[in-house]
Amino acid sequence: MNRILPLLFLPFLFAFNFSPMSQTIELGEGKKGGQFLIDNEGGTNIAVELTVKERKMDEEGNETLLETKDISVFPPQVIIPPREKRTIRVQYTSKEELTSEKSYRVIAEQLPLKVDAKTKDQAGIQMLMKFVAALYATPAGAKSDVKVVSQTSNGKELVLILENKGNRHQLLNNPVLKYLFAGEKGEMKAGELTGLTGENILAGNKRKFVIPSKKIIPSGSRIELKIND
Amino acid sequence: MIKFLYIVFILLSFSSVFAQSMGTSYTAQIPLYDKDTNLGDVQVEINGDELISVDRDSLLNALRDTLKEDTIAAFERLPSQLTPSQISIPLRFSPQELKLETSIDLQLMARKKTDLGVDLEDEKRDALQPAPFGGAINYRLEQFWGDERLGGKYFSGQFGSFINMNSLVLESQMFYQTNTDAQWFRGDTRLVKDFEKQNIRTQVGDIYPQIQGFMVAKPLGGINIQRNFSLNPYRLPYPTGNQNFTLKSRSFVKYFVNSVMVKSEYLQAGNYSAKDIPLNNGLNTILIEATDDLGQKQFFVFKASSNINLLNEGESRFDVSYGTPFIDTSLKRDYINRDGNVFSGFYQYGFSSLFSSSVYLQNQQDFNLYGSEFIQAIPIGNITAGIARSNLEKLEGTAGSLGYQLITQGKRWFDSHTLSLRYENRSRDFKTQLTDVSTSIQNAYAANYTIPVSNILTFSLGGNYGDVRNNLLEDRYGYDVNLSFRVMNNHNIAFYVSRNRDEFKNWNDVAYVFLTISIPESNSYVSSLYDQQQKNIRVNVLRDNQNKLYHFRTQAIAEYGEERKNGELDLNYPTQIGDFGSRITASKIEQFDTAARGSARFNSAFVFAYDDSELGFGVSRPIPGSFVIFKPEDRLRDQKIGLKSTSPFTESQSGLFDEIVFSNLIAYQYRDIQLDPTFLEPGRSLQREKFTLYPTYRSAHLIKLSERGSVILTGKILKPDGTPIALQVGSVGDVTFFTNRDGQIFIEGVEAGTHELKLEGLEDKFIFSVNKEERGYKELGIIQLKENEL
Repeated sequence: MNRILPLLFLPFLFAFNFSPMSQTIELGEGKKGGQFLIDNEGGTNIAVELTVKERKMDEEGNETLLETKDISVFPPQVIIPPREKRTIRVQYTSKEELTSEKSYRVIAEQLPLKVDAKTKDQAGIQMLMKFVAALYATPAGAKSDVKVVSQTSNGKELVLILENKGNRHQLLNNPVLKYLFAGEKGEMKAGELTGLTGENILAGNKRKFVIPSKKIIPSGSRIELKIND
Repeated sequence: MIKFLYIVFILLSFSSVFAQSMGTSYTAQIPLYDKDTNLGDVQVEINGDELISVDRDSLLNALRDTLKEDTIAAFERLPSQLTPSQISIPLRFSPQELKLETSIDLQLMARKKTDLGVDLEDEKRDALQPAPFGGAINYRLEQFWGDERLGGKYFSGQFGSFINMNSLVLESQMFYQTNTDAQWFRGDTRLVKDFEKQNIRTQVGDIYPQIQGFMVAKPLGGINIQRNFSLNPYRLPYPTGNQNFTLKSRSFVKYFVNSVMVKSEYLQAGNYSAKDIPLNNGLNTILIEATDDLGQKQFFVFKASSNINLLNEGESRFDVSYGTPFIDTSLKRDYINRDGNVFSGFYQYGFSSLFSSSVYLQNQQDFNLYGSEFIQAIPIGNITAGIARSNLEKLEGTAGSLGYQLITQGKRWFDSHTLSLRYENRSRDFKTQLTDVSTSIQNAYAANYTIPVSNILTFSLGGNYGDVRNNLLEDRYGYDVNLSFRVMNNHNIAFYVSRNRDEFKNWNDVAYVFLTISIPESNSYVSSLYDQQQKNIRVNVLRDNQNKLYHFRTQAIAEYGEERKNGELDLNYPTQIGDFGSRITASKIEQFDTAARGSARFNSAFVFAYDDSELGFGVSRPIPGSFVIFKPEDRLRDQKIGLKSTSPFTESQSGLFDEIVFSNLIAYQYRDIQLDPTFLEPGRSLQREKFTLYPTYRSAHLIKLSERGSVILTGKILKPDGTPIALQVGSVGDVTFFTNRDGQIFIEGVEAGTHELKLEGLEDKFIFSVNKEERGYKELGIIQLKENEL
């Protein structure tokens, strides 16, 4: 979860705001682009660089960001005056016909430059911010399909491996894990699924979650993960 | 500043050493800190590490806003040079940081105000004012076809226009219908002038006076002057809550009114007075929750009663009108002055935030109605009282009323109760207007109580009783019951039954069931009403478009009764030049054949504005209040531009004359408008995308849009050794740019001409030209500098 939140070097002083934190280009609806907004809430000009990377995620949730030419961003470099907003346009430019959703990261990084005449000669510490937002290019009719592939529990922790067999990402919001063994039912709600709640499984990806839990789910149980988003 | 202090510190350290060695002291201006807060500079005398004395006046200056008045007064009585023992707050000299430190006891601290009202400083500074001249003509044109029984074939037009000349507004409504004798019908026409600072609106023409107590609302052709609080919606003329609280350490403070958070802020330790806490009608629960840095919570809870008709202490409201009454009959407006002109006026004053009172008078010829109203908020609700007298020649009458209202609100389902009681007495000859006949009821009693029975069920019970003064008649009475079920958050079913018996023993019964189903995910709503008395069921299905352009809003209505069956389908399709719509209706009345009717309509506006020698005009969706025209400069006319304000969707875009009109500004409310450049060609952008507007009553803004230069320069800047010049600021004329970590540049806003590209700190420059015809991206390629100073 922390990865999709803005990386703030100082928690209380927002020099600028970047929104939304997640955006989907619905290619099936004939759309090719989307937009983000930078809002300079501070009192001086700021220099911001915008880049887009292709996003890959392993089973542990670690992300790898790769160079991509699928998405163009405009403008890639911008100076924003105080209390001004600037629209950032992103465009899916690849000619590849997608059958499954592709994931990207849009990175808005404030650069350590003094581009404001008022503060140019001032000494002091400059606070810099970096926002990392999610961007998806989604083909028509894309749907997620998250299944529990395996589970092991030992009374201390529950290890779940989930797979998104669908072609669209899925946020695990308000999940409920239901299991059935020898006619006995049990369930674990969002509050008990620490480490899983709110996480993301990209299209066609597997994720492994280690959840602290005293519950023992008998092996061979029928398990279903219900997501109420 | 840090450098300066450091030098001072070094110098003082030396002087301190020197002074110590000499055994003498020195004076200095040093900052006084209360924990982390710098209170200001104080003049002190120091000897080595010891504080010898403090200058009283500079100490007072630093502490004046922090200490209570009596503590300040005590300081003022002390001598001009104070030793630490004479000072009632602890002072410690820190020779390492060269500052005075104190820790002021909370009991000595003054109370600081923290205002929960809206902070508009940014908006006020940035807001653009309306054009001195502008206006709009709204028109709704509709062609009908159908059976004669349903009106036959005819055309109708509704026109609503206004012209604003330096905030003097002339507004008028006209109606046109081909199947009537007169064809044209004039609606309201008036001249309006607002005086914002005084919150006063003046009107001449067709006016609708406001009323109080037993007054009767009468539309007039005449003049009206009123205090209108909507001229400054950010000011709070109605009672607000105030609460004192003390924070022992720096805390994150949240303010809740009836469980709804209204503000949050960080506050330092100290005594505070929360001002302007917005209150709702009824008994309000105000909770202030303070969480310190260690997560410890403090709660301050208090109750405050308020009434929507109460005014703040010292606030006043009035409405004074004079004119000829009018009525609209058969598409004709008649001004009726056979009974003379009408004067109508009231004045209300807030004596305290808990008590308001008003006096009023209405006069027509020999008829007078005058009276007074009182509202008192008490800890267990609100009490209202009124008294009035009327006279017409020798007939004099009196009326009085007494009311009580309790509304409790809370987060839990069982917290919300409403109780209202009202008693009214009218004497035999009391009249509310010249043509009134005496009421047969002398005493009227009414009570209503709404109680939550469970989290999904609300029960409401009401009753009324009126005793007649004529013994030949019977007393009136009645009751009503309402049961309302909330199902799965989005659905509601309500049962309502009422029975009322009049003074002639006639019973009037009403019974209905009302069902509403909301499907938020598809913006669809179904409502159904069953009227038991009429044996009629009506179903309404609406699929809303959330006001999205180029999306249908569809509504279907079916009505099934014993005598009448109806079906109706209505479609509305909003575009940036207006809303297209059509309606089909089929009706079957018992003794007639089925009849059908259809219509097609166009609902739009022509708008214009003149500002700063620039004329702008356009065609837009209807203008209910004020509007803005964005007029693109010539070179932007080939581009499509969108606009967003409060909606997540595009609310307007380039229209017939390439203008962008936003039709929904609300008078006297600051509004942020964000232009949406998504539709612009790659490589082109707007000079400015965000605007804050301040509209007045039926005003027009005209804003010229400019492109951010002719071209966007791209390229890469390298050092002589071929490595990138990373993170450097440079300029092309007035345009500032920077290089990224790879030395790449992206420079917007460069116009045609010959330019010099320079980096800060370097004499070396790159000269290039941009032709007049060039647009979009211009690739400068690799720029390798000759100097290697960076």
